[in-house]
Amino acid sequence: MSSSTDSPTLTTETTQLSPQPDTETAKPTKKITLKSSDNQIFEVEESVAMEFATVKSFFEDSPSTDTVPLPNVTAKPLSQVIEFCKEQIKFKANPDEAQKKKYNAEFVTEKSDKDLVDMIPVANYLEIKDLLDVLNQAVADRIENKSVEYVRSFFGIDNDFTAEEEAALRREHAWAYEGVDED
Amino acid sequence: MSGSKMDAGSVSTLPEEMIIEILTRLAVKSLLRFKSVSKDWCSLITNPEFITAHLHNSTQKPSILLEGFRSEEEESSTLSLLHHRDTSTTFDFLRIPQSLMYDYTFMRNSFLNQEIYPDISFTLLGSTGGLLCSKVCDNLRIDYVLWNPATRNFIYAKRPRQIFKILLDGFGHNSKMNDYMLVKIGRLFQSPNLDAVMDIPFEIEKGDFVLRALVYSWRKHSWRLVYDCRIQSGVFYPRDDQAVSVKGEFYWHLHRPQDIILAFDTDNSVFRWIDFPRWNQYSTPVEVSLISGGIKDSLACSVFPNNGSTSLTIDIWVLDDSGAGVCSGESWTKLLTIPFLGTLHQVFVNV
Repeated sequence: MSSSTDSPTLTTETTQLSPQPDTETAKPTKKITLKSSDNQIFEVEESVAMEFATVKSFFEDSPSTDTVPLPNVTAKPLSQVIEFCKEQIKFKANPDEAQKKKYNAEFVTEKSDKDLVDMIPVANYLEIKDLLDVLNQAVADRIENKSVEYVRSFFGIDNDFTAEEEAALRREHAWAYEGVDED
Repeated sequence: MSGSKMDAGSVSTLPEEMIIEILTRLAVKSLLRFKSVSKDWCSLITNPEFITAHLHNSTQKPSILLEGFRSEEEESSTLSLLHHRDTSTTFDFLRIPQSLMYDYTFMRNSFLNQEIYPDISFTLLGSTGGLLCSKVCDNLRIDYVLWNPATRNFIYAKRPRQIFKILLDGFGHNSKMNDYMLVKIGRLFQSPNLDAVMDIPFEIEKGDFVLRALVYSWRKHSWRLVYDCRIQSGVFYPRDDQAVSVKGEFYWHLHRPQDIILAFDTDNSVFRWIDFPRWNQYSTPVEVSLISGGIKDSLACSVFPNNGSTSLTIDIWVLDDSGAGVCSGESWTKLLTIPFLGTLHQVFVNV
């Protein structure tokens, strides 16, 4: 969290007098290493890693560590989550609600069902609330007004009802099965 | 979304708490259908905690309920729902379920000759927590039905055993008891020998009488009769048909002949009179109106210029209520003043 202003050692008098010292942008930003469960290494900027509440508290507990192991997270969803958080950092610096909404919508639109669902436990584990909201809403939008069969195959759920039980449930709310989208 | 996005490999099933987060965002129609996905989903969707969470989630984006009357004389109203979302604003005409009316006709026919077609009117009494309470009347009697337009379920209130002359009625939610309540204010009809139950529609009373309330609990499915002998009513006329309900207390705007509020507390079963904010603060003639649902858990009213006045603002007042005893005009605090928007029409917000 140290910045150029509270730098303890001073350089030359000329840089001190310089009205706009350019040290902020010139200084390389700190990188943090994340290791996925399938042993892939991700180097991310500190600001991005601090978006992950889990990683942040890991560093607060043991500040000397340089690699954070993420035993519950595989490489593919992690890379997508990092991609999302990198963009969110930009919106934090330059708030633009319309652009952010557009980006978030595009981010989920181009993902497959599997990608979306695989990212949810990752976002949940890393405690990235904004992403979790976006993912849950995107999955809800994809199954809203879809058939029961579509939803079973979407989540890989086996039907454990008997034919009679299922027929009874369908009779109970027959209207809810009308006007459903094609699979 | 097209099926082409489905990957060949099956999607790993999510833990239940994450499934809940997704399902709370779905429309009720989808949830009713997805009860047949699996036994786990069925028990999850019908779980009272899930239902509460879903209701909480959906009231973050409340729909506005609009009630319209086709003509001045028309007793029956038409209902529509306005859903405002990030991406779109849609509009649904609420159809009264046919089966609801069939049930009514069926009930009526057990009392009446089948040949007589009952002339039924359907009026909204109030709305809260996504539920509507309606009065279904014909020339002879009034029934009350609680209706959930999202699930299309409805449930009739039992008829009370007492014969009651209704002067006022109202519907609201008592959050302390988590119960939906129906309150009828009026007087008992002196016909103790008759076992049949009959509600007589509104009729003006002469002279003083003791107010009585019949309170229906939708949770217990039973009526309870409340006498409060400390309060004499005198002659009054309802000013608004709709009662306002705030935190388990019901309020009716009456003329007696001046504007006054009759309050009934369902927790303690007591009546009280509440004055509107002091008139003498206003130099021009004003009208008052209770605000549906109150503001921040307090009774609220608006004071606006009478027709023909040149004043161009509406004042919103909130009752500072200790909840005890008579409230005078001094108990009100002016919350804000807003520009006058023309004639006010009451709308219900489904919260």
